[in-house]
Amino acid sequence: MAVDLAQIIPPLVRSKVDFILIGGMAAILHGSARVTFDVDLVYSRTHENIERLGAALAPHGPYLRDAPPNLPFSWDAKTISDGLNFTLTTNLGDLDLFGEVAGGETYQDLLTHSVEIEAFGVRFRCVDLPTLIRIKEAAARPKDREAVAELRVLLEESEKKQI
Amino acid sequence: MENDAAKADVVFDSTADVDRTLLRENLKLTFEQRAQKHLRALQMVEELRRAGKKLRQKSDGR
Repeated sequence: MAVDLAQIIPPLVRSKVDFILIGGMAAILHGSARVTFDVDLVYSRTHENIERLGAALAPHGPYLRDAPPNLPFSWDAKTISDGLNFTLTTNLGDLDLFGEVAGGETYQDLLTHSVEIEAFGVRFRCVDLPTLIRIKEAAARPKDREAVAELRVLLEESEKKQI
Repeated sequence: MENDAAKADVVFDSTADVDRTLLRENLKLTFEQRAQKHLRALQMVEELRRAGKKLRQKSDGR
Protein backbone atom coordinates (compact mmCIF):
# COMPACT_ATOMS: atom_id res chain seq x y z
CA MET A 1 0.00 0.00 0.00
CA ALA A 2 1.43 3.37 -1.07
CA VAL A 3 1.71 5.52 2.03
CA ASP A 4 0.19 8.96 1.58
CA LEU A 5 1.28 11.79 3.88
CA ALA A 6 -1.96 13.59 3.12
CA GLN A 7 -3.84 10.70 4.78
CA ILE A 8 -1.58 10.20 7.81
CA ILE A 9 -0.65 13.73 8.94
CA PRO A 10 -4.03 15.52 9.19
CA PRO A 11 -5.70 13.05 11.62
CA LEU A 12 -2.69 13.32 13.95
CA VAL A 13 -2.70 17.12 13.84
CA ARG A 14 -6.45 17.29 14.39
CA SER A 15 -6.05 15.00 17.42
CA LYS A 16 -3.40 17.43 18.74
CA VAL A 17 -0.63 14.82 18.74
CA ASP A 18 2.80 16.40 19.25
CA PHE A 19 5.14 14.93 16.63
CA ILE A 20 7.94 15.83 14.23
CA LEU A 21 8.23 14.30 10.77
CA ILE A 22 11.67 12.78 10.19
CA GLY A 23 13.17 10.18 7.81
CA GLY A 24 12.52 9.73 4.12
CA MET A 25 9.24 11.65 4.03
CA ALA A 26 10.91 14.64 5.70
CA ALA A 27 13.55 14.36 2.98
CA ILE A 28 10.79 14.38 0.32
CA LEU A 29 9.35 17.60 1.74
CA HIS A 30 12.85 19.11 1.68
CA GLY A 31 13.06 18.22 -2.04
CA SER A 32 14.51 14.70 -2.18
CA ALA A 33 13.93 12.75 -5.40
CA ARG A 34 14.19 9.33 -3.68
CA VAL A 35 11.26 7.00 -3.03
CA THR A 36 10.43 6.01 0.52
CA PHE A 37 7.86 3.48 1.67
CA ASP A 38 6.94 4.55 5.19
CA VAL A 39 6.38 7.57 7.40
CA ASP A 40 8.75 8.18 10.34
CA LEU A 41 7.63 10.35 13.24
CA VAL A 42 9.23 11.30 16.55
CA TYR A 43 6.49 11.72 19.14
CA SER A 44 6.44 13.44 22.51
CA ARG A 45 6.54 10.95 25.41
CA THR A 46 4.35 13.00 27.76
CA HIS A 47 1.45 11.07 29.28
CA GLU A 48 -1.13 13.33 27.60
CA ASN A 49 0.48 12.99 24.18
CA ILE A 50 0.73 9.22 24.47
CA GLU A 51 -3.02 9.14 25.21
CA ARG A 52 -3.72 11.32 22.16
CA LEU A 53 -1.43 9.26 19.90
CA GLY A 54 -3.08 6.03 21.02
CA ALA A 55 -6.58 7.38 20.37
CA ALA A 56 -5.68 9.03 17.03
CA LEU A 57 -4.22 5.87 15.48
CA ALA A 58 -6.52 3.26 17.01
CA PRO A 59 -9.22 3.60 14.28
CA HIS A 60 -6.56 2.86 11.64
CA GLY A 61 -5.73 -0.65 12.84
CA PRO A 62 -2.09 -0.30 13.91
CA TYR A 63 -0.27 -3.62 14.14
CA LEU A 64 3.38 -4.64 14.43
CA ARG A 65 4.86 -4.76 10.94
CA ASP A 66 6.17 -8.15 9.80
CA ALA A 67 4.88 -9.79 13.01
CA PRO A 68 2.83 -13.00 12.80
CA PRO A 69 -0.92 -12.33 12.75
CA ASN A 70 -3.05 -12.75 15.87
CA LEU A 71 -0.41 -11.71 18.42
CA PRO A 72 -1.97 -10.29 21.59
CA PHE A 73 -1.12 -6.74 20.53
CA SER A 74 -3.39 -3.89 21.44
CA TRP A 75 -2.68 -0.33 20.43
CA ASP A 76 -3.32 1.82 23.47
CA ALA A 77 -1.60 4.26 25.84
CA LYS A 78 -0.23 1.43 28.00
CA THR A 79 1.42 -0.28 25.03
CA ILE A 80 2.97 3.02 23.92
CA SER A 81 4.12 3.83 27.47
CA ASP A 82 5.67 0.39 27.91
CA GLY A 83 7.50 0.62 24.58
CA LEU A 84 9.48 3.36 22.88
CA ASN A 85 9.90 2.85 19.13
CA PHE A 86 7.22 1.11 17.05
CA THR A 87 7.33 -0.23 13.51
CA LEU A 88 3.69 -0.37 12.51
CA THR A 89 1.46 -1.21 9.63
CA THR A 90 -1.85 0.69 9.53
CA ASN A 91 -4.69 1.02 7.05
CA LEU A 92 -3.15 4.40 6.12
CA GLY A 93 0.22 2.81 5.29
CA ASP A 94 3.40 1.87 7.13
CA LEU A 95 4.29 4.11 10.05
CA ASP A 96 7.38 4.15 12.27
CA LEU A 97 7.02 5.93 15.60
CA PHE A 98 10.11 6.93 17.55
CA GLY A 99 10.32 7.96 21.18
CA GLU A 100 14.03 8.43 20.48
CA VAL A 101 16.04 8.58 17.27
CA ALA A 102 19.57 7.29 16.63
CA GLY A 103 21.84 9.25 18.94
CA GLY A 104 19.19 9.27 21.68
CA GLU A 105 17.46 12.51 20.73
CA THR A 106 13.82 12.94 21.70
CA TYR A 107 10.90 15.06 20.48
CA GLN A 108 11.91 17.80 22.94
CA ASP A 109 15.52 17.76 21.70
CA LEU A 110 14.44 17.98 18.06
CA LEU A 111 11.79 20.66 18.54
CA THR A 112 14.28 23.52 18.14
CA HIS A 113 15.71 21.77 15.07
CA SER A 114 12.38 21.56 13.25
CA VAL A 115 10.43 23.84 10.94
CA GLU A 116 6.70 24.39 10.66
CA ILE A 117 5.18 23.19 7.41
CA GLU A 118 1.76 24.07 6.07
CA ALA A 119 0.36 21.37 3.82
CA PHE A 120 -2.64 19.02 3.49
CA GLY A 121 -4.83 21.66 5.19
CA VAL A 122 -2.87 21.54 8.47
CA ARG A 123 0.34 22.81 10.06
CA PHE A 124 2.88 20.38 11.45
CA ARG A 125 6.57 20.19 12.29
CA CYS A 126 9.27 18.63 10.12
CA VAL A 127 12.90 18.19 11.13
CA ASP A 128 15.19 20.73 9.48
CA LEU A 129 17.61 19.64 6.77
CA PRO A 130 20.91 19.85 8.75
CA THR A 131 19.37 17.80 11.58
CA LEU A 132 17.91 15.25 9.18
CA ILE A 133 21.42 14.77 7.77
CA ARG A 134 22.82 14.41 11.31
CA ILE A 135 20.16 11.80 12.27
CA LYS A 136 20.79 9.76 9.13
CA GLU A 137 24.53 9.89 9.72
CA ALA A 138 24.05 8.78 13.35
CA ALA A 139 21.93 5.82 12.16
CA ALA A 140 24.93 4.82 10.00
CA ARG A 141 22.91 2.42 7.86
CA PRO A 142 24.51 1.55 4.51
CA LYS A 143 21.24 2.40 2.72
CA ASP A 144 21.44 5.96 4.08
CA ARG A 145 24.81 6.74 2.51
CA GLU A 146 23.37 7.83 -0.85
CA ALA A 147 20.45 9.54 0.87
CA VAL A 148 22.86 11.62 2.98
CA ALA A 149 24.80 12.62 -0.14
CA GLU A 150 21.56 13.79 -1.77
CA LEU A 151 20.53 15.70 1.38
CA ARG A 152 23.91 17.47 1.44
CA VAL A 153 23.36 18.58 -2.15
CA LEU A 154 19.82 19.72 -1.26
CA LEU A 155 21.26 21.77 1.59
CA GLU A 156 23.74 23.43 -0.80
CA GLU A 157 21.03 24.10 -3.39
CA SER A 158 18.59 25.47 -0.77
CA GLU A 159 21.27 27.80 0.58
CA LYS A 160 22.07 29.01 -2.96
CA LYS A 161 18.36 29.65 -3.52
CA GLN A 162 18.18 31.81 -0.40
CA ILE A 163 21.17 33.97 -1.38
CA MET B 1 41.78 10.85 11.92
CA GLU B 2 42.48 8.59 8.94
CA ASN B 3 38.91 7.25 9.14
CA ASP B 4 37.50 10.78 9.13
CA ALA B 5 39.48 11.58 6.02
CA ALA B 6 38.25 8.40 4.33
CA LYS B 7 34.63 9.18 5.31
CA ALA B 8 34.94 12.72 3.93
CA ASP B 9 36.22 11.32 0.64
CA VAL B 10 33.23 8.97 0.39
CA VAL B 11 30.79 11.81 1.06
CA PHE B 12 32.56 14.01 -1.50
CA ASP B 13 32.42 11.30 -4.17
CA SER B 14 28.76 10.54 -3.44
CA THR B 15 27.60 14.14 -3.74
CA ALA B 16 29.35 14.37 -7.10
CA ASP B 17 27.06 11.60 -8.36
CA VAL B 18 23.81 13.27 -7.26
CA ASP B 19 21.58 14.49 -10.10
CA ARG B 20 21.15 18.16 -9.19
CA THR B 21 18.66 18.85 -12.00
CA LEU B 22 16.01 16.66 -10.31
CA LEU B 23 16.56 18.39 -6.99
CA ARG B 24 16.41 21.89 -8.48
CA GLU B 25 13.08 20.99 -10.09
CA ASN B 26 11.77 19.68 -6.76
CA LEU B 27 12.83 22.85 -4.95
CA LYS B 28 10.56 24.85 -7.27
CA LEU B 29 7.52 22.87 -6.01
CA THR B 30 5.39 23.49 -2.92
CA PHE B 31 5.52 20.97 -0.04
CA GLU B 32 2.23 19.44 -1.19
CA GLN B 33 3.40 19.16 -4.78
CA ARG B 34 6.58 17.38 -3.59
CA ALA B 35 4.46 14.92 -1.57
CA GLN B 36 2.11 14.33 -4.52
CA LYS B 37 5.01 13.77 -6.91
CA HIS B 38 6.50 11.25 -4.48
CA LEU B 39 3.15 9.47 -4.12
CA ARG B 40 2.88 9.07 -7.90
CA ALA B 41 6.42 7.64 -8.02
CA LEU B 42 5.62 5.29 -5.14
CA GLN B 43 2.43 4.07 -6.85
CA MET B 44 4.43 3.36 -9.98
CA VAL B 45 7.03 1.37 -8.00
CA GLU B 46 4.27 -0.65 -6.34
CA GLU B 47 2.59 -1.32 -9.70
CA LEU B 48 5.92 -2.56 -11.08
CA ARG B 49 6.38 -4.79 -8.01
CA ARG B 50 2.90 -6.28 -8.52
CA ALA B 51 3.64 -6.90 -12.21
CA GLY B 52 6.97 -8.53 -11.31
CA LYS B 53 5.28 -10.77 -8.75
CA LYS B 54 2.63 -11.87 -11.28
CA LEU B 55 5.33 -12.61 -13.82
CA ARG B 56 7.29 -14.74 -11.34
CA GLN B 57 4.14 -16.64 -10.35
CA LYS B 58 3.35 -17.24 -14.04
CA SER B 59 6.86 -18.49 -14.78
CA ASP B 60 6.70 -20.75 -11.68
CA GLY B 61 3.47 -22.24 -13.08
CA ARG B 62 1.37 -21.08 -10.10
